[in-house]
Amino acid sequence: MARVSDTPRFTASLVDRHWLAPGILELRLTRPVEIDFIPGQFMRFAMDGYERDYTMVSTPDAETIDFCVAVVDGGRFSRDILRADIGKRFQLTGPHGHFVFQGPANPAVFVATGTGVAPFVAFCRSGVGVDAGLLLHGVDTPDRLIYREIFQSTLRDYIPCISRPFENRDSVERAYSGRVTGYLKQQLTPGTYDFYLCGRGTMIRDVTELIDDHFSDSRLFIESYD
Amino acid sequence: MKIYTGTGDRGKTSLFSGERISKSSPRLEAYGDLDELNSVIGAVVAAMDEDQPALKGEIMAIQALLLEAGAWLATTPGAASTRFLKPFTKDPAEMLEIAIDRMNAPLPELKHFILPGGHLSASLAHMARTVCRRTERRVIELAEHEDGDSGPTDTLTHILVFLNRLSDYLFVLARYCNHIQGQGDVPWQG
Repeated sequence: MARVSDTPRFTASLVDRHWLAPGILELRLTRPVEIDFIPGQFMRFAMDGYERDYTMVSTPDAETIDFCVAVVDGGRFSRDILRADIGKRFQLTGPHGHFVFQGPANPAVFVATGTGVAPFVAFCRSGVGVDAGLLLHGVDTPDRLIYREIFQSTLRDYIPCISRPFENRDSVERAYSGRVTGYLKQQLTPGTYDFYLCGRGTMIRDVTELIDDHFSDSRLFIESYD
Repeated sequence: MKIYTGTGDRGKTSLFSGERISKSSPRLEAYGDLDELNSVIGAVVAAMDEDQPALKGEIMAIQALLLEAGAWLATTPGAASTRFLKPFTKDPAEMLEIAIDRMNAPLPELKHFILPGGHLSASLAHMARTVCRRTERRVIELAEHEDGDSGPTDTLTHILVFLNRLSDYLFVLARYCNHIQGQGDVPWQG
């Protein structure tokens, strides 16, 4: 009667590493042919003595598997990935997670802070949920608006939400000054939506309260980075 | 990963299929009781002697099945997220029937009512049986509440049959636990 759940394991080599924004790296690894995933899922890096989870920003049929990584001062993965030579082999397990597009039942509202946009990059590149999709990307400064071109060219609507005061407002098209919660409270038309939240737990908790209060018939899908 | 999210502090929670529901809804009552059942079964395993690895393994496999059943109960029928769930078929109930017959074979024929008790593992198995019966009632209530005249889905039907059979399994398990401890049943002296 026993069942054993075997999570597939893979080895992938670092092909490229470049900065997307200050403190945010994009990693590109060789894609083992047997890897199959749904946009929005993540892989687990099995490092020496610890593990880290990162969502793919590439499509399931791409030649590489790509990730975006927030570099953290004193972070073990940050240290190891910055030291890694091109060609370094990584052990990965996965794909993991259920944060995938759930179909067009309701208009989709994607809400992310920081590198929480990763699953939505995979959605956009794969063409899932984009026709009726709105993305709110919360950052503190405009220089951290990663993947803007992809979102602007793919989604029905894309609103950068910039929490700190900034100059040259015209340089960021359709920018909202404030947090994602402020936009949702003030700007989003009442209705029933499928909300997809990805980012820090505090944002997820605050947005969930808003949804319960103002969009209570909506569905809610969550990926927390905490 | 943090254990707490704070997203359920105001009496609502999210189903696996995304809907926000009250923590007092029939669906949550159902999978909450299933969780309680699984926890009590865990206590049964913990109370068993080390010299029963095969039986412990069997019970832990049942616990895994209960988690799978719980995932189905936490998902609105027909939702896209069901793609991540393992199909819940009639096979687990049939496997329970085989296990019931195996455990029942060496037991003395039951000719009197018995009291839930005896060895700690047997007592906990009886407790699990009663929680299992309550869980079954909650799932029936869910089926009646959510499916109306269309009747429950095949998956819900399979889960109900599984729970019904699991109650029988836990009754026989309780007797079997007393049997292997050399205690026998605790007869009702009424």
